Amino acid sequence: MVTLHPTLPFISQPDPFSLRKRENGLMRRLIQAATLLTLSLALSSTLAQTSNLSADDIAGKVEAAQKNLKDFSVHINGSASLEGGTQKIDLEVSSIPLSSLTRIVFNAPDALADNILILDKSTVSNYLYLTNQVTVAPAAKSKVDGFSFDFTRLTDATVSLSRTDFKLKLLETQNVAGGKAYLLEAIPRQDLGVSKTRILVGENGWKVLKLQALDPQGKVVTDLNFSSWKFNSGLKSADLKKLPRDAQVIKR
Amino acid sequence: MKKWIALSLLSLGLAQAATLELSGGFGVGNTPTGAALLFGANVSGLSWISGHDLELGVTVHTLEATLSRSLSGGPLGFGQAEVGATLGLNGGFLLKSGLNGTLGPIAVSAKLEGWTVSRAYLDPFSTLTLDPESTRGADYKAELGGKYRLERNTFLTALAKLGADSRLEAGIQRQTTGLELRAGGVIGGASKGDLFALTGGISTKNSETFTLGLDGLLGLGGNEAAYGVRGSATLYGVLPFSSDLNVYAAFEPWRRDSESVRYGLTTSTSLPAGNLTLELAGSANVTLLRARFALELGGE
Repeated sequence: MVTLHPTLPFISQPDPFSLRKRENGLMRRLIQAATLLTLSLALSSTLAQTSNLSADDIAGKVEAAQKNLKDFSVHINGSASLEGGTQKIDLEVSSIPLSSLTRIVFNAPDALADNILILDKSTVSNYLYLTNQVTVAPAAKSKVDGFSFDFTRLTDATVSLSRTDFKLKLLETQNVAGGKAYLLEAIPRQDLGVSKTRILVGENGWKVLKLQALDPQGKVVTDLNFSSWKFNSGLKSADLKKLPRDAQVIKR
Repeated sequence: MKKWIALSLLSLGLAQAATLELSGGFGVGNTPTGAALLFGANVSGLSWISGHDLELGVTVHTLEATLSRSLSGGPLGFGQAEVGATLGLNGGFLLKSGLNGTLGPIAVSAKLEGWTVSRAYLDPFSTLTLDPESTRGADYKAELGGKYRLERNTFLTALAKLGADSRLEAGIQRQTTGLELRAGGVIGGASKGDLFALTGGISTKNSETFTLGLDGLLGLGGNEAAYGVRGSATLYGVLPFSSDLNVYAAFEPWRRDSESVRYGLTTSTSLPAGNLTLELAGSANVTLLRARFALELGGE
């Protein structure tokens, strides 16, 4: 079981490109989104069995539930506000947890559209549409890169939602299409780059429907909608690993 | 055999996955090396210098070394820098340096190379590719290229070259479902004087079975018409053992510093032991044939 790592490794790294400063805001938001998403994915499995269970019970149930989850896919879209304005975010995530295989296809922002990230146990493959290049690197290497951050967090469905990491609170119950939905507040106990997150979970299938991150002033800085959740739809590793045939491959 | 090679390289301090490539072939016609036979061995992915990739190679005519370093920004971008040298065993050398990077919607690349002996002598295939090296004996080139994603399906490109093949290019690319269309202009040096020309091209995209591309140039070179056309086709998995096949041909009389006729055929096959590539390439003066076999050493 992987736990949410409270540090953000990229912040303390030396600046490899001066250009990075401009993108820092976006990276920070993406990291926050990644952190939130892992939280929400964990929650989506956790909440199916919430009533009258202790945190330890839940952690155990999550693990058990993950074992039965062959694959999942979800469409994530929304926005993140940056120093320079609001940035649209649109991603397709598909994963086969047992093989630790995850594929993320970017639809928005335009600058990153059609980029593909493929993660498995040992390798990280990044397809950059602009240059039609795939960089393939050992997972360990991409984690130590200063210019990189751990995208595995974006999709790791086996993240543990430990009570030592988050303080959870039920804010309200809402009525949404398909039944009731519960709005939860999660406050990280250590600095994860956000002060507070709100997660809306639908009773129907216990799926995350919405995720928001708030800054210390209570302003929503990241707002993501989750739709088209699919579980055990028979995803194949070969399809998740697919990349354009004419792409140039760069091994690192 | 593979294990044995891997072990002996490990004993040399090869800690990470490296690739060994062995090649052999021959040339027919006016071969740039003056000899018909081509043999070489090359190891890439050596991590002797921390944080860098080292590539070392030897052929019957040259010694080569390239040192590179790359940084990944995940889906946001990628950067790479390299320096390298090729030494001709009968004299002459090539020094090269390059830098390229992608960050969000912007990609840039820069190259600076200088050589004192024909590029074809140092690498006989290098002057026969779709984007060929110059045939000038001793020269330099400085290149600066950029690509900008204006919006999701529209790209602007620019290229400035000094030295061999000096010219300025600017263009726009538009991508539709399954197709990429290119249009642009070029000014620079050509075979019959100053070149002013328009360029256009089309390629297929996103097919699992093939990629086709065709590009043309039309304009003025001095007081005469300047023109050129080039095309390439790649078929994936069509040959036995799911091998890929690429063929290309260029007829570009406008070129001043490069072979105006070039053609080639390459097959690539993944075998259990490694990757086998068969290459044929030629110009009006020479035809080369080579087999390359690359195998992974160490690591996973």
